[in-house]
Amino acid sequence: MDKEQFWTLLEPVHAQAEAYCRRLTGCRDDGDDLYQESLLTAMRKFGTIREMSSFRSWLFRIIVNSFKNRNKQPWWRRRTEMAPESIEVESGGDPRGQLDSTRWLERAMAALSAEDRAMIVLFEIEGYPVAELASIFGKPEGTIKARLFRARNKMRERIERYLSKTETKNSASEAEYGEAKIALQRSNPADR
Amino acid sequence: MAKQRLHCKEVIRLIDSHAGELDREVTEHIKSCPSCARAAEAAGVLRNALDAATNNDIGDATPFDRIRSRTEAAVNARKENIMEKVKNQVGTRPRLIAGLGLAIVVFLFITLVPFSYTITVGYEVAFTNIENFEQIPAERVINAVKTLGYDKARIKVFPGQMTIGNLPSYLAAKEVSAAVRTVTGIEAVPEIVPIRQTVSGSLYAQVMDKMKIEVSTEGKTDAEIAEEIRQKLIANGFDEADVKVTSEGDEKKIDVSVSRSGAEGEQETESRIELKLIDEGSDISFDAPQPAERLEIDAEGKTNEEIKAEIEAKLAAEGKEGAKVEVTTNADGQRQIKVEFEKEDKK
Repeated sequence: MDKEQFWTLLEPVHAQAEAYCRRLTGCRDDGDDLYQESLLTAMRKFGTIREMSSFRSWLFRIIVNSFKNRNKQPWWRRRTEMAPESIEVESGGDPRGQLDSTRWLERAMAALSAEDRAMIVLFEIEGYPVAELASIFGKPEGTIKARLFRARNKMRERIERYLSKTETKNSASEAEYGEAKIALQRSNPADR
Repeated sequence: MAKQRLHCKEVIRLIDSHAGELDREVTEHIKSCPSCARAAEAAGVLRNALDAATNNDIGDATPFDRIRSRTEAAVNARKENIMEKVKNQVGTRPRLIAGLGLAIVVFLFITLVPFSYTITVGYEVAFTNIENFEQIPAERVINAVKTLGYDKARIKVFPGQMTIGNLPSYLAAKEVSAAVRTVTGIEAVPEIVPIRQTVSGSLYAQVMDKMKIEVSTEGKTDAEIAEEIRQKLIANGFDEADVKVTSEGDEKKIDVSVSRSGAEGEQETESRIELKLIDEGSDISFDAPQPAERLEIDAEGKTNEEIKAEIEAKLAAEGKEGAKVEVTTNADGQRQIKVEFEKEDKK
């Protein structure tokens, strides 16, 4: 393995790759760990790369695989998705005011598999074209487009579920407040 | 109603496909449809969150040199850790390591530790109490054995005794016995003695040395299979073999009863027999001699006596005993061969 060649090829894509890792994990420290782990794998597998011109796609594929491996849970630790009824929503006020965009994105991303998450971050946030995603994920462009559509659909549905839950809670709180007010009025001797 | 639902699906598809500005018709629909309005609202929240993430500050990139030195240090640390990992595995999984160690010991015991056991390396035909010992034509005995193709056979002659050894199989010993009795006229039935040799070998070698009989069942009746097994058992040195094959559904049941004479006439049983039936594939070749339609003899450079001995040996080998062979040369120099049988009239 030519170590120097590896570092020469990495230098121009280093900033993009590191940024992608940070965005993918949603945290700077976790992102840096993922990047380091991916670089170690990339150095070990550098001898297997076929075309040096596709170094960036190859490196990003390694990052995606490392991210997928990190998210792999053994069956006894795997969690099932919660039913919409059991999703806890902070009560009171407009959630759009309380939850900043990062939290909304986290919740939406939770509906996706690790690979779909990696795809959405690359396309929607990093702005990579579908053709490059096809090269990174080793799938036809049509498949990438369909998967992006399905992923967006899942994310939108997850947000919608939170929104409807919040509305129900808010209206229930308003009704409870109304009933309590009436009861208070009835119990007040001055009103009789 | 159905039209309205279909329209909702179409609107949601447009919302999800992220096609930019929605046209007026869709916007009108969203205003009038609460579920589509919620979907559009959720899509808007999602779009805002994605846009915010794009513009989010994720911090400055780590200097390239620092990343390089950190990664190279991690590579070196990982190399050093490999031995520690092995030590940890040994420490944390004692049962696994003990199991692996035991498996290795068993494997070495089976393949390397030698045991002594006996194998049959050949057969010997022993004629005893031969009357008129001096009149036995030794030349004809040698010719008969060579004609049957057993060039490596060793013939030893003692007063009143003759042994023919180094024969590869029981069938070969039987052939030689019949041929020698025909050419010499000895009436006594010879003993066929297996030559046993004590060898040293591992358990694996012992298993590989055991007798193997393979029979193809393809397109054969039970009786044909039984006969083939019987033939192969006899070829492997058994005097008698009683084989019965019966079919029970898809399975075949094989009953085998065998016996073999020992060196001093006592019954010796072969205990290691493996029967294998092959449903498909090639038949196992079996080199039992087939009765010849013609006898071919190369007469060139041979005397009449030699030709006679060769014919007698070949006939005896085919089980045609008691043949009277006469080889003469007429006035023209042509050879005339006359063969007469006592039991069957064949020429």
